[in-house]
Amino acid sequence: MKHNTSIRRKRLYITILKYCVLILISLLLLFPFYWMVITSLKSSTQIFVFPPELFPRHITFENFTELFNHMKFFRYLWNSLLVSCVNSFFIVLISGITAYAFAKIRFAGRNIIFIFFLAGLMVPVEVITVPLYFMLGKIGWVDKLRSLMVPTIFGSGGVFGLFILRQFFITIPDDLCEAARIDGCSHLGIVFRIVMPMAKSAIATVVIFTFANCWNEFFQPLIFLSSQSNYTLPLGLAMFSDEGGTKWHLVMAASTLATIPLLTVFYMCQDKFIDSMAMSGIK
Amino acid sequence: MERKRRGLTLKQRTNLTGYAMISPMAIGYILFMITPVVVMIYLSMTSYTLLKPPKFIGLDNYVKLFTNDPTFLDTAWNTVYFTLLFVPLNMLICLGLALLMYKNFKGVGFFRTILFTPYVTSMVAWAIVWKYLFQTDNGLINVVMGWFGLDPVNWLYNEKAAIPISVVVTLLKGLGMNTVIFISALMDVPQIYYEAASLDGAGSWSRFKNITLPMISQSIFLALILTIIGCFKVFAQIYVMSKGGPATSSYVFVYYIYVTAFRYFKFGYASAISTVLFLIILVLTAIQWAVRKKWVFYET
Repeated sequence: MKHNTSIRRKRLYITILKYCVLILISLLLLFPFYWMVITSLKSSTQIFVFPPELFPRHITFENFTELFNHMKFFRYLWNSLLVSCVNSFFIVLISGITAYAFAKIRFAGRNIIFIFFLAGLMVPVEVITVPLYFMLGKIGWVDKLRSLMVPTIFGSGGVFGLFILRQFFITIPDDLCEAARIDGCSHLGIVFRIVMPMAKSAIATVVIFTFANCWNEFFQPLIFLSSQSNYTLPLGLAMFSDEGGTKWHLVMAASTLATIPLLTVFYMCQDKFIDSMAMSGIK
Repeated sequence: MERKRRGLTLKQRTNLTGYAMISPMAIGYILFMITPVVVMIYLSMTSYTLLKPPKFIGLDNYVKLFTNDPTFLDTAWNTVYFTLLFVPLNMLICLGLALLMYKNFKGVGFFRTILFTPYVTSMVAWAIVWKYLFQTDNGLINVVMGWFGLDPVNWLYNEKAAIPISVVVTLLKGLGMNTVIFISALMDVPQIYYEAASLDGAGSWSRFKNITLPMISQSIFLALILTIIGCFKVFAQIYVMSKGGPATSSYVFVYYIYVTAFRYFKFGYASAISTVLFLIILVLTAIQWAVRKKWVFYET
């Protein structure tokens, strides 16, 4: 009996310790967000109050209205949204068709060709950006939003989509596709009417991963884009923070606005989001 | 047995259909993935700058990189230093968190979401907020240190602190990823092993050392390689927080590529640095694939 209660007490201590550690880490990770939002609600004079107010007595939204005069926020938002949506859509479309061919059509050399595609997973975006800049310059694509779309759709993003979708398509029974063939359905018809609708979860993984990556991508926009009207959100934010200097109330307002959209989507479908991201790690 | 239509055998038609369906992606992939790699290797052997068109100079850029470029040595060392600090901390903390979280308990989903929140945030925004927290004058970290009677520290313009601070900022942002990978590995360990070990009187440390660690060693290894590769690609946080400085004290590979190509417009030389980085990542990925292949065969 005595032995039993001491084990139970030990378990209780461990549970308490566990919660303490997790709560501490959570506070550490959430505090930067709190500080960002709180600072964005302070006036320009409150920023310089010493010591800084952890819970400001006055809050104001004027930073956000002032911000829109300094920074084409909605333009950047639109550009980011456009690049992320176009890339997600075309990656699902093109790598979906390609994945179907690799999974269901027994053409000669398909394994070797697939490995040739997979090799693309080894090439990081950062490495090929300088030669891409050189190539895009030759065809006049520098400082155009398509410089963030086409190379991603056929490069890193597309290869990831191909890998995930092929893996899922293989699990769909061949009989299903063959039955559709006998009924006179074309291969493209099978892709869009049978295979894709069955692969909703795999497609969601590809869309979430692509969207989040394109939304947060910084290196390529920094190099390919030069006119402000083409900036994506992370680029606009970094440039504004370089110019803004010590106007921390405005810089934090800009950071808050840039952070909210994707985090909102994340909180709406967090489980699927986390699984999709983890999939890219396990792949 | 072979049906003939339009003069083609069934096999030939299957091949044609397959090639036709993969051709859009294949053409795009060759143009935008393979060609840049080839162009990169070509440019790395030229003296191409903004003013001079590419002129072939053989391996001169590489010779200069490894024998006559102190900035490249700084860059390589800084990247290695970043990796040496980052990887063990990341692995230990994530493994610890995964051990705390892999058994279902009240609020586990909540903590998982919080852990992942910085991961989903853009590195630019995350680094800007931390830059604000690390400000010398009235930055919150110095203020809190003041409460304990410590002198304010010049965090951001400090040769010794630049890399460690970017490690801390990157670490806090990325905890969610490896933790989730480790959690799924821990959940795959059959419970029956632990029960058997407990019956034999194994303590919790010995169960961890003899069952858990060997069973999740593959995941640890794969996460290890991915994390090292991630360290070699660090850029946005350096760009936002220190701009590589003070001097070159926080230059890392991608930052040096960026500066060489787009501040000094030495595209040939930048391509040589890119090629070196490419080879490093290629070797790391090849190791990862080779080991995983071995495991896959072992499993089945």
